[in-house]
Amino acid sequence: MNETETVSAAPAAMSPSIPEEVMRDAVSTVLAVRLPGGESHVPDFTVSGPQSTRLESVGVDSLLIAEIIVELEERLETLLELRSGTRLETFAELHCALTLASPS
Amino acid sequence: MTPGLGHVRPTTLWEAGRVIGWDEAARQAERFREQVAAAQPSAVAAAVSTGQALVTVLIAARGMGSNVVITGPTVSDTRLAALGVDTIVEWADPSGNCTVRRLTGAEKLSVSAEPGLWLLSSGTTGEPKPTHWPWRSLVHGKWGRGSEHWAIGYAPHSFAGVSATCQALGRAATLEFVRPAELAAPKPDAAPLTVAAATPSFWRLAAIATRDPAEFRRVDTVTIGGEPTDASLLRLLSSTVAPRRIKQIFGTTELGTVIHVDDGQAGLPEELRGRRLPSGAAFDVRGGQLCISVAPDAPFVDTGDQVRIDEGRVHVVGRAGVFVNVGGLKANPYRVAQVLQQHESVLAARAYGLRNPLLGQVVAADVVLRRDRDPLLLVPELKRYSAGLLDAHERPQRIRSVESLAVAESGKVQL
Repeated sequence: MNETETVSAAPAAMSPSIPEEVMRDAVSTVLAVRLPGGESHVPDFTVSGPQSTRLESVGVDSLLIAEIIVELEERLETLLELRSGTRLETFAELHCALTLASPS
Repeated sequence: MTPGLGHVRPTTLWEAGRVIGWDEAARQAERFREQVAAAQPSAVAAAVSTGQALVTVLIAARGMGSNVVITGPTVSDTRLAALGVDTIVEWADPSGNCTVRRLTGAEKLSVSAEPGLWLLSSGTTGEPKPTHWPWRSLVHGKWGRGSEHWAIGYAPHSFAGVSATCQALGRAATLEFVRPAELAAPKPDAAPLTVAAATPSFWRLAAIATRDPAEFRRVDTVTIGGEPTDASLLRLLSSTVAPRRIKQIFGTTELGTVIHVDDGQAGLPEELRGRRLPSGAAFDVRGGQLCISVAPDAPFVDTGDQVRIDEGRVHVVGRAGVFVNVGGLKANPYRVAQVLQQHESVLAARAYGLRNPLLGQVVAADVVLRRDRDPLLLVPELKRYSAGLLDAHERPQRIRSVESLAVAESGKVQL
């Protein structure tokens, strides 16, 4: 199993609008497909809280973030928006930055 | 013996369960001519949505000695008026009479002295563009009698549809305008088809509809054009249709049908690049695009088809200007679809852009799987499989298993 790196982060200013277990399942699904080794080699990661895993430490780049969003949209059957003016460093920041898209 | 080469007899048209003989087709053409003459148009367009309507227009227009614009359902009145059309002939009911409608605001049409047809490109990368085709380049010999049995699956308003129909009217005793599932289903007492002509998307849809290859209509020559053809399609056709010959057509609405290849391999032979073929035509690859010269004294014209050279073959892999913008990087949806179609479990695929709040767009794909395959297992496998063959930004981030693929009015798969 790969060792993962975690980082302390300040509590998010906004509470996530996506259930944590949905976020976790979506991330697991994407990592299982995209990282070498498949399902049995999905690294440990923490979605929320101060111990949230750094995206970079588990190989999550912008394309994988985009794919996690696609996976979440499929599971939630709704479009999502990304509200963040800064670089996303951790799963917690990504989690908090994602909101349900408002109807246009 | 090549099927369909029996007695020469008047051509019969089949479409959607309706059969009409040549005399009736000629009567409908006469009614078309009378209605157009009564309208006294400056320029007339015929909106053909069925093969039988196309035949009516072809017979009528050939006898009128003037020009007719052939149009399909996606071309707007505004676009037609900009081309100079002030009269549209339409069919509300495929089996009924045509009606005439006037357009206002028509601009002056650039006059072509030679009678023929104006055909519009499919508009994959923008507005459909008109090209004038004189009758002498479309038609050879008389129409209405033949010994062969043809099936045409091209959209009737497309260049390929018009060109194939013009050929069939000079050679066929029976001409069927077909949908994909009609070739996949058994047709009692149907003679083997001499020629069946359609787009790669049509052939994939026909294969999807096949329950048992033994039930597929027997075909001597399959012709394919209008979209990129790859090795996976040729394998699929060989296993499902098993024709004697598969003919790949290369050309455009503007240049016509210029080159055909029937050596059983996908793409054009690289060794022939830059050399004149017996027809006088030649092809070359310049700047990654397929360029074609139609005759020894004609310049090489960029077809807009993007190509890749691989193992001695020149493969068309997409259209210039058709891409998915993934965070500023261009992904070719045709290439993604081709890679997915190379997987043994995939019968057909289409790739397209999916809105994404981070990158603007990402690549998504719909796939039709072989009947015994489990989508829950295969979708993750297809993602891993395509990741090994595509650049990172081209990898489909969503793959859906679907029953069939969306096909545009042009008969080409929707991007």
